[in-house]
Amino acid sequence: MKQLIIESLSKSYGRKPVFANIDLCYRSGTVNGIIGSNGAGKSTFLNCIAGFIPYSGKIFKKNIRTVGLLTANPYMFPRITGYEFIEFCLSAKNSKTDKRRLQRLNSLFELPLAQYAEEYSTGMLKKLHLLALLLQDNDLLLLDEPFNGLDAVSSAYLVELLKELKKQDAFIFISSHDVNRLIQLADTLTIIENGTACLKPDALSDIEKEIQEAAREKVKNIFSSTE
Amino acid sequence: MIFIAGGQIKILLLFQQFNILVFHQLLLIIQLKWVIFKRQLREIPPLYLILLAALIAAAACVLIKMDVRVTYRSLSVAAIVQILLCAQIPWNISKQLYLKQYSYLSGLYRGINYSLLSLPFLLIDIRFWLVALCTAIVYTAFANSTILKGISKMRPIIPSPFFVKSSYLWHSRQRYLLPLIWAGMILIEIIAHSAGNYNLAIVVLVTGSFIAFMMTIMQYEKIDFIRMYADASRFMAHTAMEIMVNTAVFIALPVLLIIVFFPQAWQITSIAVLIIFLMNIHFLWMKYGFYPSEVLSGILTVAGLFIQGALAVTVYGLIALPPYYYILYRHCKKNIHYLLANYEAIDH
Repeated sequence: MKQLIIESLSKSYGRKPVFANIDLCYRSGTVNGIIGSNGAGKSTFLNCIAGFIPYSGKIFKKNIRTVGLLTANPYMFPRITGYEFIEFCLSAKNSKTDKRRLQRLNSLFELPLAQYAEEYSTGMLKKLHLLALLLQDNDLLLLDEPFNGLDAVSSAYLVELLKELKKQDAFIFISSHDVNRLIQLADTLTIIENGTACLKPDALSDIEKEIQEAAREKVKNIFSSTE
Repeated sequence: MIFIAGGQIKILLLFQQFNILVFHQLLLIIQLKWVIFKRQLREIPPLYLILLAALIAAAACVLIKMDVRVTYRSLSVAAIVQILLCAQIPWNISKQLYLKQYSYLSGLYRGINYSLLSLPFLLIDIRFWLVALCTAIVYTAFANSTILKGISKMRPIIPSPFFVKSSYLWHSRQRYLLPLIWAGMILIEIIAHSAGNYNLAIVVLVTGSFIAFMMTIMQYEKIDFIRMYADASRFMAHTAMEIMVNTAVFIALPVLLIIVFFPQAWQITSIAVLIIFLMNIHFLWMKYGFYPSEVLSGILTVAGLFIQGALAVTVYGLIALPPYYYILYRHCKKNIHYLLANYEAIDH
């Protein structure tokens, strides 16, 4: 079983703290949702887990050798086709392209792989990166806003795909503003707010109600104070 | 004994694996870069390709014939130039995060980019190249380190309240490049005054402005920033106004110093100021005239500067300059009009 143990994780950009003293524990075979307001530190949290940015504290990765990260704004090289990009990603992870598997997965995303990837739209680019990550079989998958830019059908495919991966003991983290999708998918929900993070493992369906209720109260207060 | 030997073999195997992996990644990046280079080259129309080849050959000839004595001072200058060149390579966060997912790829990718920049030094002298290459390797090693990040945090962000508010390219360069060049220009002008050397002062004004403005104006912009304008006429008027005001703000003090230090040479100084303004307008209209191609606008900017230099030698040539600028203006406006009318097809 793969495990991720976070102890006293703190991160700040210069003098501005993002979060401090986070202690959390996750295990494989789960989809872990991360929510928080804009700028709360969701992407930073994922980048810390990936080990791509410096942080203080400890993150233990048990039985995790490879990490795949889908960034919110995926990068693309100029003048290479979608297929070449996937080949490059797989080759960089020292694995070969399984054409049959690629075709099977692409039948869901329907990407024009012979076309230059820089000509793809934002959603298509995200799908291409996802495709490359799924073909790599990483031990830990970190998806930052994977539903942003995706059409309704592709989002539904992605939800089903992630559910299928979960059954195969995959270890997935998803940060998203789409609480509905996360409720559909996630086994745990981590809320990053006010410089700290807490796990909300139960009653996920109540969260959206709570958010909506809090928003209603705030808007009501603003309008009542202006009247 | 067996245990020690086993340990040594394990270390050797690990070292071998590390070497193979690094070599594999290195080869992968070189292959990728080669493919991209070939395809970008193929996209350049044959006429422009000939022009580009001629420009590269001319630059190579100048570098080969350059007679620079190899001293500690000149080698240090080579290292500083290499550092400045390396610092100019954009390295955005999404690219960094993408490359960091793969072993050694981020460092090797940077290293190859920086090493390629050192190649022109090879044409001057192999010792300059070796210094530049070593600088590139050291720069790569430190690029991700906390030391360099600490230095970058120490960079003072000097506000630029005098630049036009909407000219964000100038504001972004004001963070580092423009104040550095501006301070350097003023310092050298004071030195030129104390040495009584007018030539040094005027050369510094023109070359300093050339570097500063080229690196500011010729930065690539996304098409969204062009789409903001209602029509091509407004775009042309607004960008020209921005360039004029910002250029005046930037060169005001250096020009004033030259006029105060060398009042007798005011005529040459005035011509130099005129050249700087024309040069900036030329950068602007070349950039947007051939947008979105950076390669084409880059080649034609250099070619255009050469042509103007050649024209300025004779009086008849000088007469040809206004029509040249008029054609450039029309071409730029036409291209902007096309971009605004067809943006759906250009950008996703």
